[in-house]
Order: sequence, then structure tokens, then C-alpha cells
Amino acid sequence: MKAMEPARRAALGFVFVVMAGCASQPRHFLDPADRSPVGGREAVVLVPQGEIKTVVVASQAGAAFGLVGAIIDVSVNQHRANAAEKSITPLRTALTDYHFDQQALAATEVTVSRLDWLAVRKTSFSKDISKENTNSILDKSASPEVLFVSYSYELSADFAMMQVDARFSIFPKAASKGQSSDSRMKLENAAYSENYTYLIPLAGAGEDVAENCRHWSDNNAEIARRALVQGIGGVNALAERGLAQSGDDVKKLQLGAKVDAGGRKGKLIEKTDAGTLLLDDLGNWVFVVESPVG
Amino acid sequence: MSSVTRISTLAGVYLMLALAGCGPMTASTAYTPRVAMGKSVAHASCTLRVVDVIDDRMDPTVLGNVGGRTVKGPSDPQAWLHSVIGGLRSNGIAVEFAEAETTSADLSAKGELKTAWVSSAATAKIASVVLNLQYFRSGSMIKSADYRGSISTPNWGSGQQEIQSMIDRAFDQALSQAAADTLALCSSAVTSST
Repeated sequence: MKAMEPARRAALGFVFVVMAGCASQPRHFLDPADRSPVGGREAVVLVPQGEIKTVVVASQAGAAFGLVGAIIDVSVNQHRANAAEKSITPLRTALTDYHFDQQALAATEVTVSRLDWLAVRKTSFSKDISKENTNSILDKSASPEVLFVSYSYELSADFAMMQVDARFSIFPKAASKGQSSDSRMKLENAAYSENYTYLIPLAGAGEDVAENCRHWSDNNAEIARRALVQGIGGVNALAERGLAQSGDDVKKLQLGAKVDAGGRKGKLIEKTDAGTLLLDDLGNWVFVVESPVG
Repeated sequence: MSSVTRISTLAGVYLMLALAGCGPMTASTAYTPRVAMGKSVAHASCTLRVVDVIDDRMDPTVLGNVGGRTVKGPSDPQAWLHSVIGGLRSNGIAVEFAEAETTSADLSAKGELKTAWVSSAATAKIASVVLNLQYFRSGSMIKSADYRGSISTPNWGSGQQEIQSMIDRAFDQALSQAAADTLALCSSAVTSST
């Protein structure tokens, strides 16, 4: 479980770097006056990955030994990447006909249609998270703002947990006065940005990665499919709630008691029979499901 | 070698690596099979007539991202897939592309690209492809199979050549499996007709 933390940080860092180019704290709420812009919004669902992936914990053992250490790290990382790819292949094979992209797009369409005040007029899909593409989407948009929903899904390094992430970010079509058009995608310029994480543990998971993978993969990956459906629905339900938050609501979230749920630390937002919702140190909403799947 | 020379050499290497992966790249439309030196290729006893090539991906414009570098899909996905499936020739299969299947006893197939993506993890780069072939004989489907290729190699500098080569090597694996099935189906036809 501890391996989830660096993985999530890495995934988040990737989204931050690619979509924003900086690490400043984004806005976690929409002002009432900004909720329904004249001209509405466009939504774009982004799923950069092609199949389910797993966490590869990067080696840093050689960090103190210069070039030789770097070569050692590359070697260790390669071994870990090869092992991870080999381990996850049975699950990928069982999920070949599972279309995460379509499921994510469909779920997002439902979410934005339920939030009619978001005024989303059109939803499209892309796998391209490059700055060139996101800038092009903003340039071509007929709306003054675009909602980007970037999904990722993966298994923890020990294959004991399924994680689905969705970052909902709203960026303006027009750059701020005196700023370049590239600056539009900086998180500090986002009208809203929040990452929602949904964690589903595997029932009876042990330390044997291959055995855990077999559980996810059995019966045409029935358990993994259920977890992915649950995760996609889960992050959308969280987003639906999070997008409606006011500035005061967001401030109150900081007052929660410190908790540890499924190895994830943060401030408690709520705990129910379904699971624990917390706000982690990076300001992400993290929901840890109480009942393992399987 | 003086320390200044060593530092210059190292700086040069780092600069080369840094420059190697600048900006997006576009994968080649032409699949290049691995050149197997001295490897004898079995010759097919029949021709595989490919009557349809489908791209099942929701967004064929992008293959993924390696080390922060966007890898765009080939500009002509159909031409690319024809080149990939045509790569069965390197595995000893006589491939013909045709408009429609025939009712003859020749083996025909429909190809479908289900997945093709690249990514990176730590200092490794990864490519994964899944190609489906449906085989037909005398108008009836006799087999459908997914052929997976997956490769993970060190990411030296997110260079165009190393990424392109990784994609092609992943297809090598898929095509090798497809060729084995095709040869078996061809052989079974020869056996049953004699």
C-alpha cells in the first residue's frame, strides 16, 4: 500500500507538468459569478494511457554515486518495469475488450449534463495531453472556458488496490492581460481544478503479485471491470459534489481531523459505511472504499 | 584524459540526451521489421488475403507520451496498419490486400488494431500493441485471435529512433504470433485437402 503514495504523486506531477507547467496551488471552487459563463463551456475528456498500468517505484539507490549510480538506477528501474509489465499482462489481456475511454467519456457526459449550471454544450475525447493540443482546443473552442477532465487508472505496485483518478480543470480561452496564450493552461490561471481519486481494495489480497493479478483477471477480469466501473462512477460522483463547493466549503475542509485510510493520509471530510473521504496534503479528494471488491 | 576533457565529454553526452527528446514526434507510417541476421524464414504454403483493416482506437492521433515527449500516431493510420500487417511477409506469410474475401478455400483475414500505445515508467519506456485477426475460409470464420506485443526498454533520451524502434519491436512480437497461427491454418488446409 505504501507504494501508492509515490505513484499518485508521480501521476499528479505528470498532469501538473504536462497541463500546467508549474506547481502552484489551483483554485478548488468556482465563485458564484463564474459558475455559468455567457457562451457556456466545452468539455474535453482526456485518457492518455492505452491500457491499465501499474506503479513502478523508481530506484534512487544510486543517487549519491554520480554517473555509476545513475546507471545502477537505470538497471534497477528497467528490471522493475519489465517485471511490472510481465505481471500486468494477464489482466491487460483479460481487459482487451473493456473500453475505459468510452466508459470515461460516457460517465463524464452524464456528470456534466446533471450539472446544468456548468453549461457544457459539447463534450469530446482526446488522448493527447500535450500543451500543443490543449492550447489548440482552447483556441478552437466557441466557448469562453473549457473543462478538461483527465483520467488515469492503475493498480498499486502490489496489485492490491485499483485506483481511478480524474482531474477536473476549467481553463479560460482568453489569456490574462499581458500573458502569453501558453499561460492559459497554468494551474494558477485555472478557474477551477481539483483531482478526485477513488481507491478500491482487492478482497483477500496478499503479497503475491501474480496471485493478486489472477484474482483481478479471473472470469474475463470480472472483478477488475467492476472496480473500474465503480472507480469511474466514484470520481464522477466526487466531482459532482466538489464542483458545487463554495469558498467557505473549501475552507471548512481544512479543519478536518487527520486520518489514515487504507494507507492514505489526510484531513477527514467524511466517513460512511461506503468508505472514507479525505483531503490529502496536495489538496486532492481521496475516497477509500470500505468493502474490498471480489 | 584531463578532467576538463572528461567534463566536456560528459556535458556533451548530457546535451545530446537532452536534445534528443525535444518536442513532439510523429511515428512512421512504415513499419520496419527487425532484420534477423541468418534466420531462415519458413515459407507459407498459402496466401493470406487481407480484406479489411480496422482501427478500433478512439483517438488514433496520439500513441502516448515517453519521458514528457508526445508521440503522435502515424499521419495515415490505414497505410500504417497495411504496412504492419504486410510485415507478416517477414515471417514467411504471403500477404495480399484485397477488396473482398472470396468463397474459395484460400485463407482470408480481417485485421483490427485494438491498442497501440507508448508510455514511460521511471527510466524505462514501454510500448504495447494488440492486433486482432479474424481468419476466414470459404466464407466462414475459422479463428479469431488477439496478438499482443509488449516491450520495455531503457529510455535513453526519448529519441525518435529509439521510440520508433520500440513500437516496431512490439509489433514484431504480435506479428510473430500471428504468423505462427497463419502457418498452422495454412498447414491444416493443405492436410485436409490432400
